[in-house]
Amino acid sequence: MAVDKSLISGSTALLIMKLVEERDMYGYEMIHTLRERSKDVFELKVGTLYPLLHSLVKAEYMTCYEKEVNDKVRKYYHLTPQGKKALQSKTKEWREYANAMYAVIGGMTYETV
Amino acid sequence: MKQSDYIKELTRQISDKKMRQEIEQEIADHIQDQVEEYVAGGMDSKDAYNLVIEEMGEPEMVGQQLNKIHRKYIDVPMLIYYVCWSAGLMLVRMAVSYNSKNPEAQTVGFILLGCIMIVIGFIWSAYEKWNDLPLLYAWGKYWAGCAVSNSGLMLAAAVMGFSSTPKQAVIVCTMIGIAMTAERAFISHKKNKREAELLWEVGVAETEVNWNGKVKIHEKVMKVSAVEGETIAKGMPVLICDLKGFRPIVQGMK
Repeated sequence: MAVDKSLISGSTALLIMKLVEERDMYGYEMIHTLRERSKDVFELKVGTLYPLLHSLVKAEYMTCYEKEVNDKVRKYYHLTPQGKKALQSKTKEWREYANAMYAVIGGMTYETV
Repeated sequence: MKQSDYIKELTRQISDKKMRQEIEQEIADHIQDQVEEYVAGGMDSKDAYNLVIEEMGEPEMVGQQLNKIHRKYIDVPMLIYYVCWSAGLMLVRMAVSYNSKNPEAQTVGFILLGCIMIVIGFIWSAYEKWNDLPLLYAWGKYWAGCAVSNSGLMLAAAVMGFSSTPKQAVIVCTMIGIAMTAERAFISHKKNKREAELLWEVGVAETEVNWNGKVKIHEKVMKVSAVEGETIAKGMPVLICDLKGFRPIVQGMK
């Protein structure tokens, strides 16, 4: 009965929401942009991205619509006001944690040197 | 695996028909885009396809995850399955009764069977819905040597047990069908509500978290499990990325 596997890794949801906040994107564009911007560090798998996107739509953090670009119909994702709010609060929480981590790791480095 | 096989394997897991078409289109477009990029980079188109498919992730698992998200309150495939089995088993019962020498003793036996099946069937149905099992699943991890069954079949056996005429069968089948649908819709509703509440929330590990542990989310301490194989140290930030039954599944934020 091996059905449940995690949908995302770490803060992927935040990264995706951040990208879509800047402009509406379709799935392939997100993977492409994320890879480019993180200089190949964030390689997002398709099998991770679409379940994540669909659950963000269900949570009403995003909406999607179809638009024709260069003779191809694309499914674009758009961040809702609710999504923006969630992104802000999660980014804030994330920064607090990151700062706490730096404080600890930085302190240790200082002592060993 | 060919592209069409991959998409078929993935979309087979999606029970909502409209959503299945939408996902099919979305994934196919994605494969096409990625292949075009690889080909533009100088790769042979066949190699590009193979590489893209390889990079996509296990189709069955991706499909199941998507299916969970698009869960429906009314389980139409399950209802059809249940009604078909009810009709089939009723024919079997009538055939057996026709040749029976001791119909009364047989009726008692059938009612007994019905009582057992209705209890197990409803419990099993709740268990399936709770864990988001697909319509047909195998017992155990692999198909070989395993029986395939589900609560629809059990409840159809209950219908057979309680009805001695086709007319009774129709009434009993309708009643059990309504009760089963209500039970499953109720569980879906509860699960959706809990997911809306908890999914993507951030918290802190109160204890070490592996298959079991506690995290604090919005000042509330709750029992959770970590993603398979992961151990999260006490005090680390976690993100709820899934729900198994009603239990949140968390992942370390790193």
